[in-house]
Amino acid sequence: MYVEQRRYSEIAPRVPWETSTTLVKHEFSRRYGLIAYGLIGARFDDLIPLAERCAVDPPSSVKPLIDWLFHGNLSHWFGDLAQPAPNRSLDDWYRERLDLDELPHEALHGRISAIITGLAAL
Amino acid sequence: MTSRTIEFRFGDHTYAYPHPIQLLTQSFDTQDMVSLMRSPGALSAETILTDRGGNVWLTDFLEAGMAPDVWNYADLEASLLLDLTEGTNLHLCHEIEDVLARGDFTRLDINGVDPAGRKLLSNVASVRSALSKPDSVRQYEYNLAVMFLAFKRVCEFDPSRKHSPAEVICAAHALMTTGRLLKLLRLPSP
Repeated sequence: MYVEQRRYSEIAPRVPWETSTTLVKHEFSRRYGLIAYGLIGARFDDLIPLAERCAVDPPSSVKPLIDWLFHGNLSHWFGDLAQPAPNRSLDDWYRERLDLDELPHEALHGRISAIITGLAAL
Repeated sequence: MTSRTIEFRFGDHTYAYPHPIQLLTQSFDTQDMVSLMRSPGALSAETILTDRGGNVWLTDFLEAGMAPDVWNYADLEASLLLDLTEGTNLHLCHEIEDVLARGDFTRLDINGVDPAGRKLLSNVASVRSALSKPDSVRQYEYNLAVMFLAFKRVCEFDPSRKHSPAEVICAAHALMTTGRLLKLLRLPSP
C-alpha cells in the first residue's frame, strides 16, 4: 500500500510523515502495512504525542496507554514470536544498531568536555 | 573530570559517575543467545501518538526490523528519561538517577523527589512493569540497552553547535545515566 507524502500531510499535518513515507519503500513495512493503515483510520486531529501526555497528564493516565502499547498494539501488529540471532552478542547488536563503533576516543572526549563546559556556562 | 570519573557538585556534595569513555573498550557479553522479535524501530514519546479514546498509534518506521525483545521497552524508557525536558534541571536529573540506582527494577522509591521527577519516574516504572518476566537476565539486557541508548545521546552532542540550556542538561543527564548503568553492569552478568 502506498500513500503519497502530500496526502499524508494534508490529512495529518502534525504527524512527521517524512519518515513514514520511507516506510512504504521498506520491505518490512510492505509486510506489516497494517500500521500505516491504522494511522489512516485514526482521527488525526485528535492525535497527541505521548510526550505531551507525559507533560500534562498524571502518570495514572499515561500507564494504561503504555500497557496498551506493549500488550495490545505491538503484540497485535508485530507478533510475539521470537527467533534466535546466532553468532551475535547483545553487546554487538546494540553497538551496531546505534553506530557506536564509529566514534574515535578523541571525538568522544571532545563531546564530553563540551557538555561539561556547557554546564559550567549555565 | 578524570579519565575514570565525571563529578557533579551540588552545594557541598560531590557525586562521581564512571566516565563513559570506558564503554568504548569494555564489552558486556551475555551468556544467553540473543532472541530477536519484530520491532517498529524507533519507539519514543514523540513517535507514539495517542487519541482521546485511549488508543495508541505509531509512526516513524524507518528503522523497523528485528530487534532484541527488550529493545522496544528500553527505547521508550530512554526517551521518557532523557528526552523530555519539562521541569528538569541538573540536580533533579541526579535525584532521578539516584532513585533508579537505589530502587527495585519496577518499585521505585519516589518519596521526597520533586513532582516533575516523580512523574517521570512513575512513567519509567510503567514501562518497566509492562516488560514480561523481568528476571535478572532480562533486567540486565534491558539496562544494557538503556545504557547504550544514553551513550548514543552523549555521542550525538555536537560541540560545534550552540545548545540551549535544556539540551545541555539533557546531554549531562545522558552522561549520568550512562555512568550509573556502567557501574551497575560491571557486576558479573547473571
